[in-house]
Amino acid sequence: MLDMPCHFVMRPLFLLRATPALAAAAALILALCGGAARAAGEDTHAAVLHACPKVQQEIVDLDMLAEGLKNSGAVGMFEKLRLKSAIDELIGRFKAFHRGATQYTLAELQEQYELLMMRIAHQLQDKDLALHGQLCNAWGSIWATLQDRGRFMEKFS
Amino acid sequence: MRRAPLALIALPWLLAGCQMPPALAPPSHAEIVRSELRQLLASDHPSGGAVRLYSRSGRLDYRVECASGQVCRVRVSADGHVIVTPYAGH
Repeated sequence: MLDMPCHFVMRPLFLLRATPALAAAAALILALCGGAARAAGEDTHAAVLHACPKVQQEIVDLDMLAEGLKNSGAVGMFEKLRLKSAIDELIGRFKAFHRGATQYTLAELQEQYELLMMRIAHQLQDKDLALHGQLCNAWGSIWATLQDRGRFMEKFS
Repeated sequence: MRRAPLALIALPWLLAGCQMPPALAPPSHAEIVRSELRQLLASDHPSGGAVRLYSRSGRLDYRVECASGQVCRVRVSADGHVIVTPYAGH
């Protein structure tokens, strides 16, 4: 059921006017497809980072990560500034993307995000276990916020 | 004959030097990836230089060739550790 092709429901939109039952069926299929997409996204996250350490307090967005970096003793002052600047630049690229710019695709932005997370993780690992664990756990949820236009604009506009 | 003050002669030169630099085009995606990989590798391979080539063999798994000729694999383990190792497959 979850593997069913979801794109077919996007084409015959005129059918939605045909009958309420048909519209309800289409809505149900869309809901299931949305669930399947979310499940696929979570599986991708789980396949790579499936053994993140348990943490007391979770990070939910890039601002919290930046704040954690600011207070961490694991990263030198200049590197903190570089990472903060890199985070701001990435947020700027996402802002442009969600406003319709086509300089980078969503897949490219995801790669840029993951490389930045790798860079931060590399700085923290073995030095700030708590923040590194928080970053590991938040990897997928921060991405979910960045890629979702509504959630992103609510947070950053 | 009265000479022009030095400041008047120097003014055009000073103004030319103070012009705003032309707006830079945003970096390409490949440039951003190279830059991020370079900065990630800087602590492990400070003498590696710029990233000459890179390829991605999976999510969070890169083969990186530096200007120095060093080739390494950069990947993320299941617990979120970034692991940099010499690339064995070349």
